[in-house]
Amino acid sequence: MPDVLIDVRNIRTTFHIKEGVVPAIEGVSLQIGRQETVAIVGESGCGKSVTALTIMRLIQSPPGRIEQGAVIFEGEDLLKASEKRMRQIRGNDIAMIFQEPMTSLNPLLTVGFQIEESLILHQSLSKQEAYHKALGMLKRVDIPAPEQRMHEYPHQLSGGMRQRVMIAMALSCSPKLLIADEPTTALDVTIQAQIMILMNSLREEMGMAIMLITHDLGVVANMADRVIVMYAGQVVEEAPVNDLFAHPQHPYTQGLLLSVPRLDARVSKLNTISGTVPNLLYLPRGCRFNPRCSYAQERCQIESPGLTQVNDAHSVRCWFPLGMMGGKKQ
Amino acid sequence: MARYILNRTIQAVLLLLGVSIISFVIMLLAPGGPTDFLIDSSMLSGEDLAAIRTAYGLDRHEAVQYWKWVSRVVVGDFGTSFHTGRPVLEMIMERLPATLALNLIGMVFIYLIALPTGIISAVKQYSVFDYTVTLITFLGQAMPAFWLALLLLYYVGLKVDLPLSGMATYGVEFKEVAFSVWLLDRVRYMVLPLSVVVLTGLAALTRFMRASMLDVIHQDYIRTARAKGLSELRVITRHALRNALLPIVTLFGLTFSVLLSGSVVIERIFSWPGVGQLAVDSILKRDYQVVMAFNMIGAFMVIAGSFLADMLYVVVDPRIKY
Ligand SMILES: Nc1ncnc2c1ncn2[C@@H]1O[C@H](COP(=O)(O)OP(=O)(O)OP(=O)(O)O)[C@@H](O)[C@H]1O
Ligand SMILES: [Mg+2]
Repeated sequence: MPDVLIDVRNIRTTFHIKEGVVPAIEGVSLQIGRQETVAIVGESGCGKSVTALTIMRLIQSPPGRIEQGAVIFEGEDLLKASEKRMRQIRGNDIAMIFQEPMTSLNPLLTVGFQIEESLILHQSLSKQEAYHKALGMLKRVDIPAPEQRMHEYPHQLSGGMRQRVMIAMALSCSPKLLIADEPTTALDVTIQAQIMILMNSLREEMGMAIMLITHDLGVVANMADRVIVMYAGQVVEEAPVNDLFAHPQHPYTQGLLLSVPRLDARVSKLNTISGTVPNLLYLPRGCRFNPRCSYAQERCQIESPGLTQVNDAHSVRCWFPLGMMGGKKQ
Repeated sequence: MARYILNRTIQAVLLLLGVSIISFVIMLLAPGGPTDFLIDSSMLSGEDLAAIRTAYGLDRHEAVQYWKWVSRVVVGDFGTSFHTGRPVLEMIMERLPATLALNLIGMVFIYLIALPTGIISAVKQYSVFDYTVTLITFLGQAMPAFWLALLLLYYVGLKVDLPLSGMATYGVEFKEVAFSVWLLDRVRYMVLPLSVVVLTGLAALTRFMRASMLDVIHQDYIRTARAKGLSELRVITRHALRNALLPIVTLFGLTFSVLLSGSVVIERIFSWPGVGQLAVDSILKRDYQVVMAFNMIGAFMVIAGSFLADMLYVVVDPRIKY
């Protein structure tokens, strides 16, 4: 990666609740280069959103706490930055869009107001200039009748339209990094595809990097340059997208890939990973995946593995990586 | 909109009719009648009592009595009191200012204190301020009004030389003394009952406001606002506040009727000459006409309050259209 935009180093974020301390993410490191699209995948609850919110320093506290690590963004450690500095970065250098377009917009404020607000704040535009820029953004995200939409409220728009508004809002200040937390999960399939195509073309046009959190491996294959697989609060595998799909090294990654229904599948039964995600309060000893892993050995139940390089771009957290046969071994 | 108002009006009429029938039946079911509570009823002969009953139509079939009542009320005549012989409406109207003054001023104080307290308590959840507010509001809700009233009478009223009952010093009338003298007199009388009204009303609204604000600040759109880089103050005032105040509108509509009905307990303890006292006296004396008028006014106020809340919603919430 020639030009690193953001370098997340060994972050740990916990939630202090009645039952105990939940280590939502533990030692997560990742890098995203300028204009690169990095996908983060993993089952529900593995810490994808917490990773994103930690980068933005938007973890609710209490109960959340960012305990260690560094988030180096263009040479500056965001975890050490003042709150004032963070506010300059949020929405301006790093923008975020969320999973639920239905609830992510303020129901009592017009679409126009919500887009203009960022522009007035970060770019010191006048109300008039902000209006025109916001209108331009609505046009860029292909919203029909944008002049009219500017004065409408979120409830007057469909889910897909609202997500377009969210994108317009997030991109209005031309951020260098867009964090998209499952931006299409709540939408139906045709709308999903449209939104993804839109995001991709805007990325090329504006030259930003995208951290794309998703469950959808189809989207990953189409959009991402690199993929990071998370399991129970840790990064378990990281690789360029083609490499990962062709040669997954971690048994969990293999399981994820095999659980995708395929039209050309020779196996008729849909594979799923047996067992359930461990409760973060009672993590298994050794490798966190070992109780569900069909290749688990004695060592896996005792010692927890670190991330090791398979080659310069591919790393995996496993004592017994699947090797070059990984994709096919069953 | 016109259609909506028409619907609501029809509903209101049906509701008032229902309330009137139920109140009428309940009153008839209560033991005794107006003639049993005349001061000298023991000195009257059976014939005299019968004559009185006939004069007031109390000997007629209940349905006939109800019908006569309804047909008078629809033209605005609530009848006359059995006991004072005066028009019911006149009796209520002369009591109304006292109740209205106490409760309106009380409500203004309650909202002025409870809303900011609840909001700050929610925004600073788990802070010392929040814990203190939670504790005090718990106590406030658990404490009965009469108990607080008695405590205030004893520990404050007697020590600080405040009038303990009534509403004004005899002869201190608006036109007859200097305005400042009149005002000071009224304030001194109002301090204790107003304190009870405010302190007992405060707890519930504060808790409600806190809960509403807490709910809102955990919404996705608040996270969106923060992700834009807005300051916490702006997130709260511009994005959270209006959303959190929406449920308060409903609550306001529901508590609107209290303005006129007042608190019987507080009025009794402080001998506040309001409608609450009149209502209780009338029930005890089976003064049917007065009681019915009260119930109807009460029901009307509740309906008016909820209608008012619905109309306010149209103003404050763009999602609502009728
Ligand atoms: N506010 C919170 N209080 C307590 N625990 C939390 C809180 N937020 C997150 N967690 C914990 O952090 C873990 C990771 O949550 P996170 O939201 O990052 O999952 P995710 O990978 O984004 O899942 P999903 O795909 O469902 O969005 C959860 O398992 C949960 O236990
Ligand atoms: Mg998530």
